[in-house]
Parts: sequence; C-alpha cells; structure tokens
Amino acid sequence: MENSIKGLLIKDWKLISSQRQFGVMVILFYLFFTMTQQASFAIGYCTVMLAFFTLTTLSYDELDNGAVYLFTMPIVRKDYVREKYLFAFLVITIPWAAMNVISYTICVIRAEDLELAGYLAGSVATLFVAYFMVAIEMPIQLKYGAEKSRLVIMVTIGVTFILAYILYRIGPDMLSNIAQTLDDLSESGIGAFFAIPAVCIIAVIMISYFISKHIVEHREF
Amino acid sequence: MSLIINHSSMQPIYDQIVSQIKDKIMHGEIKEESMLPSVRSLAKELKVSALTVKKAYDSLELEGFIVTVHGKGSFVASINQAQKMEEKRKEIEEDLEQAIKKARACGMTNEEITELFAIIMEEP
Amino acid sequence: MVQLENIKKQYDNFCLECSIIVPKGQVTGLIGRNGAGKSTTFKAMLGLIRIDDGSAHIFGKDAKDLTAQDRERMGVVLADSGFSNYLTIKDLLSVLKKFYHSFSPEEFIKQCDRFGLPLNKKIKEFSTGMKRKLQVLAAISHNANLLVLDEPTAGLDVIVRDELIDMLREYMENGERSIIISSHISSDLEGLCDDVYFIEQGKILMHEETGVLLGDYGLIKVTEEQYQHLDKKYIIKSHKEQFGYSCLTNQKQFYMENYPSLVLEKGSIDDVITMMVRK
Repeated sequence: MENSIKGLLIKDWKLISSQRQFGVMVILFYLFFTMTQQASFAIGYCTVMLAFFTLTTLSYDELDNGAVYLFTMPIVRKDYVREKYLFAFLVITIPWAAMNVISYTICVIRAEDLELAGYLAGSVATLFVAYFMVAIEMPIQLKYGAEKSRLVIMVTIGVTFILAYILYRIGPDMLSNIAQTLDDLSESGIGAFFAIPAVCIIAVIMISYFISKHIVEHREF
Repeated sequence: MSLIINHSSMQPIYDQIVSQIKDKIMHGEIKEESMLPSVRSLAKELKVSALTVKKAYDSLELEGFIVTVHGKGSFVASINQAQKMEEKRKEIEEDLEQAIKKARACGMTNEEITELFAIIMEEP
Repeated sequence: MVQLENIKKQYDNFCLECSIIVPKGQVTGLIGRNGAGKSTTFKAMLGLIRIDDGSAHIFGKDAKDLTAQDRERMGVVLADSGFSNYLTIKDLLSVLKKFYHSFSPEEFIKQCDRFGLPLNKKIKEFSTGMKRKLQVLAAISHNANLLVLDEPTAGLDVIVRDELIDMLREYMENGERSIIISSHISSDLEGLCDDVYFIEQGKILMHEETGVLLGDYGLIKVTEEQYQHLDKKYIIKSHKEQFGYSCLTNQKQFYMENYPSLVLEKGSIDDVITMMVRK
C-alpha cells in the first residue's frame, strides 16, 4: 500500500476519532437493541450509521477549503479516491464483523435458538446495503460537495434504512423460501444466493469507484 | 561581520556592502586570508537579497580585495601596498573633487582656487 | 526549477497570461494587488488547475504529470487552504511522517516548541499567526527543494511576518533550494527576494532584480515647469499629480547627477506598483 494512502487513512482516522460522541452513540444503540433481543436490527442499524459516518470525512476535507491543500501534498488524485473507499470498507466491515461475533456469542451464552442461515443472511444483507449506500453517496459528494448533497444524503439514509428494515423483516423468510427453490435447482443453496447479490454489489462499487476517480481526476480548484 | 546597511540611503545596498567591507579590510578589521561569511548567511544577517550580496562579493573580487574558492568560500586577499595606495588615492581624488565643486559653487575662479591650494600646501 | 511559458487560463471575467521562471537557488517574488492573478498562477504551477495554453514545468516535468515523489520535493503554503482544523499537531506528525520520507518528527517538535505552537490543541483553536507558522514549518520540514508560498504573510502582524521571513532566510542557507513567494506586502519581499515579477490583471507588467529595483530605480517629483525641461530618456512612466508630475526612472544616478536639485526618492516595490498600475 502506498505511503500516500496510509497517510490519508491516518488522517481520516484521526478526524473521526475526534468525533467520539458518534462512536459512543453507535455502541449504545447496539447494546440497547441487543439487550432487547433485536440483535439483527441492531447490527443493521449500526452498520448503516457507520456508513454515513465514513462519508463525513469527505465533509471534513471540504471544511475551510482543506481539500485543495491535500492535493499539493505527495498524493496522486487516484490515491485520494482509493483511500476513501478503503476507509469506508474498513470502518463499516470491521465493527460489523465484531458486532456479529458478539451477538452470536451472546446468543450461544443465552442458549437461544438461532436460525444461523437466516440470521447470517440478514446480517450480510445489511452489510451490502451499507456498501451500496456508500457507493451511491461517494460520487455525489465528490462532485457536488458535502453541503449541496445534504438533501441527497438524507434521502439515501431514509431509503437505505427502510431497505434494511424490510430485509430484516422479510429476509429470513424470503431466504428460506428462495433457499428451498434453489435447493431444487442446485446443491449449494445459500452459497449461490449470496453469490448473486455479492456480484451485484461489487459491480456497483466498481462503477462508483470509476465515476469517483473520473470526477476527482478532472476536478479543478 | 558587523555591517550596517542603511535601507533608506540613496547608495545602492551592494555598494554599501562593498565599501564597508573594503573599509574593514583596509583598516585591518578583517584580517588577510580570513574567511568571509557565505553569501547566504550574510544575506540573512543583513536581511537583503542573496543576489545583492553576491554582486558585492563579485565586485570585491574584481577589484582584487577578496578571492572566492569554489566549494570553500570567500577569503580576504593578501592586499599589497600598491593596492592600498591606489584605494587611498581614489579617496583623495574624490575629496579634492568635492572641495573644488564647493569652491566653484560659491563663485571662486580657477585662479583663486589654485592660489588657495598653494597656500595650504605651504603649511606644515 | 519552475518554468511557466506563456501559460494561459481563461475564467469568466479574468484571463491569466504569463511567463515566469524560477532558477535554482533563487528566491523569486510575485507581487500584485488582490485579484491580480497570483493565486491562479500558483495553482497552475501546482497542477491544481488545467491551463488552456502554454506549458507549466516544475523540476522539468509538466505540472499535470507530477507524481507523489515529485511533490515530496515541494513545500507548499496556500493562502486559504491548509491542514484540517480538527487535527492536532500530534495527529499531523503521524500523517506527515507517512507522506514525506525526509520528515523528522523530533526536529519538527523542536521547531514547534521554538515558535510556541502547542502540540495537543486542535488547529482550529490556533490564532491566525500560529496557523501560518505551522503551515510554513510544515513546508520547510521535509527538505523540499522548492517552496511555493502563496501569501504566507497575509493577515499577520509585522513581528510575526518578520519571524516567518527569517525562517525562510534560514531555509535558503542551503544553496540548492528555490522559493517562489507571493505577497501584496512589498516590504516582506524586498528583504528576501532576488527578483520580483509584478502581476496585474493576469499579466506580468515587469520583472526586475530586487537589487536593481532598490538601487537604480527612483521616483522623481517635479512641478509642471520642471517636467517640461526634464530629459525623459530614462523615465519609464509618469503621472500627473496635483503638484505637477511624478516620474518613475530606472536610472536614478542619471537624474541625481544631472538634476541634483530635483526631489528624488529611492525606488521601492510599492512605488513601482503604484506607477505601473494606475491609469
């Protein structure tokens, strides 16, 4: 990994760590929902919140015209875009994984009955939803700046929240049905089911990345 | 090196540097073969452009007062008596010019000036 | 080091057209009024904007092809953009260490101490002077060959300005470096720059060595009558005034010798700007 990307990662990390309140809020939400037996919902909601959170680093860059100066430092424009996606990936995925492990452990401790496949499916679905949200938001913010895209952010959050909730609700059932159908078609039911959305998400992210790269590489200050 | 630059003087800065260094060399304040400060450190000290100091050093070298060794620095040249005399002669010429200008300005004729000069020459 | 040849950039109501060269080991100044085109010129130099015509080269390379490694050799201070205000100097240390190979955190901390910059406060809590000092320090802390400084002394009081310019003089003591610095405060440039470019409305009005400017240029003030009898061979520009005329010359010795009774002032960057820019 280039030093420039590492440097940018450190910068963005320091920026969001200075926003302790947000992190604390996420943890509290998670604990609350987990305690009230809505672990899946907790994970979904928090993951999406994290996605929104990572986008705020873009607005930090814009503050006081900071972005201009960044581009005089030893980075290439491509690196800036790459780092943003990498950062979002890390900040969303790592806590998501942690939350899953914790929730699962709690369930095991409580000796709760957990339909693993459905649960996992729901969880992975919310992960994909979070990625999707970032993929859509990133180019918009890069092109129009954090301020102007505020309304779009609100709408996107609303939509993804609803999507997440829907998935949580009907996810396990829908999956069981589809799993049945897929079982009829092939042996690897769940695996195949994951494959299709995964490919879609990757495609969306790739398209988003190339659009973002183009926007940043042609930006004038 | 304790040079004092008058930024509001009509005399160009490089000229001030040249004459002050020359002066110090002539009066032995800067010893022969001693090293002068580098162009840039002097520029920093005097708060002037490095190019100006370089111009001064070049001028001093041209007149034979200093020698620049590439990579090492600038050193005061061993001044021989003839050069010192030449310097003094120039100064005296300037002084005389000044006196004559003054004399003419208040209306003295060439004869009167020469007469005055002869009188002064006779004084011990 | 820097070579801008006939670069052209068109905006809605402004057009930049200029050529500037910054040789190795030299401090070049760019002076002009607000809005004259200084920042635009710098942005072209740094590859922050694209130029419509001409060529912009830094370190012999086209500005738009600058790699991260090239940028490590540059130290930049911009007029209205800097480090994110929500970071502390301590945060900055880890970032700068990653960006620049030749960055020494210990050295940097020492310099921050020397200039009274607190390590653990967020930058947004710094005064303007402190923020500027930090920017300049960061620019000179990684052994850059070229400093590109856009109005680094703007908005600062005279003491701080002096400290900053001294930092730059110290920096130039290593002979392999160059600086291009812009300002609309001419006294800052007179004591630092080797040559100065005057820019107005996007065009270079004049380019002169500072030593020549301060040594050979002069401002003559004459009455109407004196003006009529004045030999205007070395007058660059004249202006009608209430008392008669003010005239800019680049051969003040000529006028000192031939017209000793005339009012003649030493040339300065401000005088040149006033004379060249006023209609």
